[in-house]
Amino acid sequence: MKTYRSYCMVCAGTACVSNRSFHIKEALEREIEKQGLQDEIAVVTTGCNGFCAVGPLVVVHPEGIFYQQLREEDIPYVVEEHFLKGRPVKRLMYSPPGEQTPIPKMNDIGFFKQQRLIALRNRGLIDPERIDEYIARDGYFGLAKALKMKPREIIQEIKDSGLRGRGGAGFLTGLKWELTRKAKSNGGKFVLCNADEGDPGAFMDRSIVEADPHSVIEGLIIGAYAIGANQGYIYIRNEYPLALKRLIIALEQARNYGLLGKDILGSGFDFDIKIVRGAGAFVCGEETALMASVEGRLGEPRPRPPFPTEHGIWSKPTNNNNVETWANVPSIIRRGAQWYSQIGTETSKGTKVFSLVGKINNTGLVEVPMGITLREIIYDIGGGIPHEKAFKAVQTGGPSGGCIPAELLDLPVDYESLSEAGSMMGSGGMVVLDEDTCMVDIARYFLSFTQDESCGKCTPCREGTKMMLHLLKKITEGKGTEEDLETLEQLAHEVKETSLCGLGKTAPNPVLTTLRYFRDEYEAHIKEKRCPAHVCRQLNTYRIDPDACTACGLCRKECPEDAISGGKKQPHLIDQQKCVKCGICFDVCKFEAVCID
Amino acid sequence: MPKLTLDDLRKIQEKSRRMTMLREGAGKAKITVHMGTCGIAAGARDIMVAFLDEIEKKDAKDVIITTSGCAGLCSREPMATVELAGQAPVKYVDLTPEKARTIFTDHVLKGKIVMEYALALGSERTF
Amino acid sequence: MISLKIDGKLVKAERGATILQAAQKLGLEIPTLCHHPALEPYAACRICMVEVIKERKSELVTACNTAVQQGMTVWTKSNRALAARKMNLELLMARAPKVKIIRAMAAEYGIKKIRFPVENPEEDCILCGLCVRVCESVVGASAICFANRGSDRTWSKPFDKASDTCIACGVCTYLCPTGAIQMEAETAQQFRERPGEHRECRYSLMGILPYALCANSFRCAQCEVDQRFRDHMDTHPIFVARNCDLESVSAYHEFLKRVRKE
Ligand SMILES: Cc1cc2nc3c(=O)[nH]c(=O)nc-3n(C[C@H](O)[C@H](O)[C@H](O)COP(=O)(O)O)c2cc1C
Ligand code: SF4
Ligand code: SF4
Ligand code: SF4
Ligand code: FES
Ligand code: FES
Repeated sequence: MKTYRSYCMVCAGTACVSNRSFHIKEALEREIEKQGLQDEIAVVTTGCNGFCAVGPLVVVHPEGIFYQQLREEDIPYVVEEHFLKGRPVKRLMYSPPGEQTPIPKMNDIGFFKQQRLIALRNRGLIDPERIDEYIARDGYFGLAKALKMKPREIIQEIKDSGLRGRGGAGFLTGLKWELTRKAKSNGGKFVLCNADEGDPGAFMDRSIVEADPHSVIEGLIIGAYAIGANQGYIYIRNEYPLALKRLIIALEQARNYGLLGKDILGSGFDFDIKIVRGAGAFVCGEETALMASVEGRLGEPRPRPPFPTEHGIWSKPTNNNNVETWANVPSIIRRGAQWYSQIGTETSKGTKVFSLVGKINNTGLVEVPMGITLREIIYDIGGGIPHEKAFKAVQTGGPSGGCIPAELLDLPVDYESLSEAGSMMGSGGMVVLDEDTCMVDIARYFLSFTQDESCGKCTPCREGTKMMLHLLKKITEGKGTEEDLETLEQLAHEVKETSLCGLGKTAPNPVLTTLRYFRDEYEAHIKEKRCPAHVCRQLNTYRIDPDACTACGLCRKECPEDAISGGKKQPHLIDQQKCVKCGICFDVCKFEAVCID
Repeated sequence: MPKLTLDDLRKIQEKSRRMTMLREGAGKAKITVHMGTCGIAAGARDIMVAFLDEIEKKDAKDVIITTSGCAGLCSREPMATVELAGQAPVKYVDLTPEKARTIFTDHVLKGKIVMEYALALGSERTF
Repeated sequence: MISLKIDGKLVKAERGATILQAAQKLGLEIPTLCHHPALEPYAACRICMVEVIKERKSELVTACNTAVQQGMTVWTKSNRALAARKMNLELLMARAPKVKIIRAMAAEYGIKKIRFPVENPEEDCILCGLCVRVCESVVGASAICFANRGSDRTWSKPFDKASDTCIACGVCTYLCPTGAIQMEAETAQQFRERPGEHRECRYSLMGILPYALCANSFRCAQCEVDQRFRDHMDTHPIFVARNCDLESVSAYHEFLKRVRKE
């Protein structure tokens, strides 16, 4: 193997690729060659580093220098200064918002410093399309160890580690494996990896598959051996072309090495994996719908029990886990349950990957130990709220999670604490909301997503979410009554209690939590016909401040109802009778002269 | 017959290990070659190539080579600094590829400082 | 055998039996809309909710598909169960306000006012899926299916246009609790008048059937459709439907009782 003194790791996750990272890579190779450094410096493409907001990014090892927002024009300079002369280029490094001094090294940046990588341990460090690099970082040694253990011992190890499902409900993984192992079958068992990831804005699973597909494959082989399955499926979203491509390459390479197929590593154990492409509906992520879809039937949930552990794909016992759950398995086997169970809290062990989005400075993907507080995630890692706005709430667990208010910022992030707060871990989405958010409107927003994704099978979810949305719309339009509020609360409660699958059971969470923590906002909309955050336009009164108005006339031109009058050098005026509250004047005024009462 | 045995797996790992160790920034020894304009003119590239060649020949897995800008002592280029984990850095001056090879075998691998080529212990002390 | 308590009464049930079956053994009525003993539980209408207490935890479950467990305590009329049923009935009232069986149930549960807007006062399908499922699993024709997702969900009507697979057996009409699927005499006739060789259906008594419609190419002695009707429903629905007034709810209940095995 050739020796290089330096490696230039070009991020080739989906976000960086769409920011032209492959062009950056080509430019790097070109310039390196021009400077005659091609035998000293290697350029490697990696999966997502998680800090997509500042992409495309390149990390230079061994120093660990972190370059961000690169353009092709920057490359000749970087190569000459840094690679040839050894002077890292300050102006292309990352500086925290509001600060001048750049932070040269990746691991000194707040966003990365507090992370603890297990599921993503190889992210940015290996080329996901080369199995040898995975093996170099101890890849498939967990499998080698597992194949020498008894299935019972493996299951015990996973149980002892305390690993819980990362796909939503947080079921104990070891226990699920045991149930599947014990289930009787008259013709095989299956393992299944759920890579459907339908939450909007979430890309944890995509990122794991893109950055380290072999970790998922290795996890699946270990699981299959422990459970007694000879066939595995990975159900992956069709909208993830890059992840799909890397997965196909990884499977091919594993097969070539005999890590899949017959007599794996001489153990006598046979196993292979098929890829199934997801149809795209959110509800297909629900495991019974997922399995129907794997069989080629309509992706619709069915009642549980019988649980998939007994009655899964083709009615055979099937062990389904989420991508991140599977990716944790190799490390647990290699390093032991003891090591893993030291990380995290009493009931929630290990780490969890979250996607941080919304009103937060450092949007991106982070892996943190369980038990870390929301404050640490949002402020230390996420860099706080942009434009010095106040934090209002964080929606955890995807569109069907709950909104957790500022009073609970010190809440430790673990399964129990989140669900006590009315939310959930879900798959790990976190949407940060600032003071400009209307909580009624945000509940309406999340509910409109789940309502649209309901499969329509059961009454409460199909009819109930539609009616909840109707009531929320009424309230945000200022037409809500106190009786509506009561009906909404009752309905939300019953939909949660009586729905058939997880979608309906969780869809009311945003409504229930905003009612619990922000009831005053609902009441302001209903009783005072006022939206405290000025988001619900129908409740706003637009007025022009005569002192700030420069009589530019823009609002007058844009108003669709001709409700604004005024001439040259004359402060403009809104005719409230004509105003339809579309808010266009507010949006177009460059002098902030339009105010909302 | 399985295609791959545990031993094969170990061999693959051995082979690729150096590559990923560098990326983790983990290393027992760090060699910094000074590559300012003056250094390059004085032949710093040859020194670099010599060190890289040694690493490959001796199959040294945990040696990091980096470059740095001009050290401010242009008359004594080419120069390099060797730093073993937990020890003070040692600066070598007026290097040639042969001297670099000696330094690699004696200092980097065996831990014996090559006094005759060394400028001073500690990087900044002489100026 | 498993023993459990329903509404305070002790009952023994077979392993694998549902709460609904155990309750029926005690003569307790749990309302259902999407359940039929000849079909796999579907658990979609969520009307049969009951409260279950196990290991001091209380939970709402659907009686039609939840298996009995040793030592389980079930309350079929607890406040929590009644509130859940009531809400789902109110939602169904808003969906299909003119349907008799829904109106009757709503009245029984004291629902006086519908707090939700009615989108289509003429809607009569409650999406219980009985027609779709029976046509698939008993008849084997799969002539009806659901289309669209979420609140746009509808079912495709087998009689709207000439369906290739419908054999005009009428079992969907017979099972539909709301009368949404109507098989008019003329429709059936139209089906039977399709070109092809016509013959008398001898086993399932579907009258004159064109060759194309018979699922079994007129090999009546081995009629699978007939066999499935016998296996699942003890009879062909035509026999029962003939003498019944589909219009009245009570008749419908009578109806079900007669064909149910137990
Ligand atoms: C509407 C809905 C969508 C879901 N989507 C996903 C998904 O995208 N990925 C996933 O792993 N689990 C999803 N789940 C959870 C799965 O049903 C299942 O619990 C999970 O895959 C089990 O794996 P785990 O034990 O490793 O968490 C979803 C559940 C529901 C109700
Ligand atoms: S009449 Fe029979 S075959 Fe036709 S749709 Fe109804 S159940 Fe199916
Ligand atoms: S048509 Fe009748 S049987 Fe079919 S789903 Fe609608 S209500 Fe149920
Ligand atoms: S084969 Fe069956 S369906 Fe066909 S005509 Fe004979 S009895 Fe009727
Ligand atoms: S894709 Fe590059 S950091 Fe996410
Ligand atoms: S009868 Fe049980 S859910 Fe419909």
